Amino acid sequence: MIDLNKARAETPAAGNAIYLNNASCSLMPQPVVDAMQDYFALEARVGGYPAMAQQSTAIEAVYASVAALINAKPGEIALMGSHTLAWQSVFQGFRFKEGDRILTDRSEYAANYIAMLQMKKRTGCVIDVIPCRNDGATDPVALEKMIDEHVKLIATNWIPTNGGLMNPAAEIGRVARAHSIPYLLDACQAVGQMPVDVEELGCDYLSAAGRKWLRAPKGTGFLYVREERLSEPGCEPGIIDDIGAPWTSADAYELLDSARRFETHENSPALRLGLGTAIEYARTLGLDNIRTRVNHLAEGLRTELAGLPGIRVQDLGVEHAGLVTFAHDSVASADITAALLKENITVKTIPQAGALLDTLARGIPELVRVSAHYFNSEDELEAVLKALRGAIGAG
Amino acid sequence: MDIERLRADTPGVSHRVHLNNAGSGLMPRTVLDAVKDHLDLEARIGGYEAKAQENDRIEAAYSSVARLIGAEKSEIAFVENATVAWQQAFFSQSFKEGDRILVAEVEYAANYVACLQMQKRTGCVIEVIPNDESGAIDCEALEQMLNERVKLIAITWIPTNGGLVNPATGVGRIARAHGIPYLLDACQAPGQMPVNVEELGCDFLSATGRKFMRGPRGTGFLYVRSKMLEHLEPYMLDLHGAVWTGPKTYEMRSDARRFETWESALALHLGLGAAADYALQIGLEAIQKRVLMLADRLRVDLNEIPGVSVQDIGAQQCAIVTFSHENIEADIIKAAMSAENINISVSKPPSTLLDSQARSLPDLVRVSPHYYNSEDEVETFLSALRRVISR
Repeated sequence: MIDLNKARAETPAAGNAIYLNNASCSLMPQPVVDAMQDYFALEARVGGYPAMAQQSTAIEAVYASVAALINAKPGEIALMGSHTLAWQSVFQGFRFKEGDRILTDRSEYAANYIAMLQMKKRTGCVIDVIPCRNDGATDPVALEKMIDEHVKLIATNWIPTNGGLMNPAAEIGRVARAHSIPYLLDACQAVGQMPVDVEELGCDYLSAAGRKWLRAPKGTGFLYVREERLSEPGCEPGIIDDIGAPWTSADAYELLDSARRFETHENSPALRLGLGTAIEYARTLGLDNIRTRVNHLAEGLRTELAGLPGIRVQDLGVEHAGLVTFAHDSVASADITAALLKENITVKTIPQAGALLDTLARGIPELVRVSAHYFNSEDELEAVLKALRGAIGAG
Repeated sequence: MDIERLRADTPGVSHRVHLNNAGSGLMPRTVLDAVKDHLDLEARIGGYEAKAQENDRIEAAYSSVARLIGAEKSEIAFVENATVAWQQAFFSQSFKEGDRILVAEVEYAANYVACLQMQKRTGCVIEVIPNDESGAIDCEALEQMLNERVKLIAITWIPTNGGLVNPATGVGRIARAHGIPYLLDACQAPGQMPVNVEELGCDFLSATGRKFMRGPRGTGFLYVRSKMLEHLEPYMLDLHGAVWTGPKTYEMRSDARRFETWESALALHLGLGAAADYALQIGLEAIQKRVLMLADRLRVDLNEIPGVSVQDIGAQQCAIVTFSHENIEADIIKAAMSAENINISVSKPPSTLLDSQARSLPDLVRVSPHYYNSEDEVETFLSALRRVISR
């Protein structure tokens, strides 16, 4: 069980406003802010490199924290400056040729899909979209039928930006492993709101951001790379420098054995400590407990929303994550978001281009996204529903 | 320059003699406050809400960095570090088998391994521009190397391992005369001397915030000349640099921020902007004058210490001073200084392998004063060094 009062007391922003945009960027708890402020103060006192030397044990421990969070080994973790850098340093490392196929899902996020389109333009590779099951989730059976020797990468997202859908990431993993196809999983919306286990998922690469459900600072992300992939020849990052690939002779470099070959010089140790603190904070609460509460709040919200006139909940799939999306028959989503903001309630309007393939396939408008975290209270959700009734004239 | 006031602005000087500004400068209070205040604001009202509230200041940070290097605001991208800046520019060029990339002998390892990776991927060729007798890039030799297969000139202006300042402006004149893209690694320059991209004639300039600029770690920036923006696609592009306009199409931003990716630590961006403002306020000419004075004094005094060889090459030099001792290893000297709360660093051969091999360099002790260092601090270091050597 999560102690709501304690969680809120440790969240400086709780109480100032009703914050329901945790899927974009959550609120940092005080210990995360303190970890960073303390480190900046140390840097100012003794200088950047001496500070890093003094705190090397704590900085090193961040790798172990990430590893423990997703059931990986510390050597399989790279700390990155953002989710995009994590995802792209893997993606750009593949040497696609004309006719090579990249398989992705309909709900793919704009950030990743734009990079795929660019890769297609550069190399002539092909992007194929895995069909969906009737419930709207990516279909592993259909995926299996698509596999041939031209498929060089499966790159999918677990939970999309535009709804509560949870794609069957572990089933996709089983198909990928059965055919030894590299599997890059975008887990941005999963880490921090539910247990994540790379062994269960069967992914070769997993990328994530710190600022969302993990409640870590902006400017943090991480990458998991399966040990077996690291030992394969050709597992080369899209970006290397002498941190990940020491310069060993005039015409040669050697990649590090560990996933840190994907890191570049240099980074903010303060932000890394913020990330590590956020992960330990979540692990102390327990990811199962967090998942239970987030799910409880989201399901309650969906039920209430479904009862409001003109509102359609837009979350696909059988099993749901903590992202709740909806649209109203006649009131534009942006107007609803603006009306709520006037009442000090932060939600998010999801543009159609955020997951364009899905938008077009379903013919959906912009959506309102409400993403409640464990520190949000039932009272806050009541207030949202009340404000929403006002916004749609169902007062 | 009011050294006392500048030292009063710098919390670190009362704890350490910091002579590692080429590694990471001490942040002045204004930079620290900018970072800390924004982190607190984010914790209080949320990340995107803080971004909206501070939008004007976040935009102003771009203007400040642009002013620092004589560029337009629209030509600046903020990225996570110097490597990301440099590689975003480097990998955005397309090379074919036999295409030539010209680099400096003092090229930094980070850049060179990327060149080697590109060579492996495409079959392009990396060639080193010869030096003149001072050890700096020989512009005449560069001119003679040029032909239609030269697709990029990518040089380090100031190397990590010494006081050399390469003739970046001379290289720029040649690059422009021949219409060859010119990528300048300026990591060690902004903050210790005036930098002007018009004078330099570079098409891309990459730098970090944490060194002589005294910004926070985890910051870097890339300058992209506006005419390059007409056609060039960044190596890594995402929904920050482009909009997904149709199932098969995207449209890039018109400014250099297409080289940024989603998303970043705005607290650090604000710190970088504050660092640029602070340097501009003091004046880059005055800063350069003072750092050169301190560095020259160090070189003169070091030369008189028995067994010490100053290793700085080039006719034009900067605030980085490197030396070796005939029988005491650089790491031992660094540790001894650290025990006396003096921050210096060691440059190892693999960080500038070509130069280190050509000159048969051992590990070098690197001392890099900034304007806020006092003459007394320089003397403190020299005395401590003399004691170590005479032990």
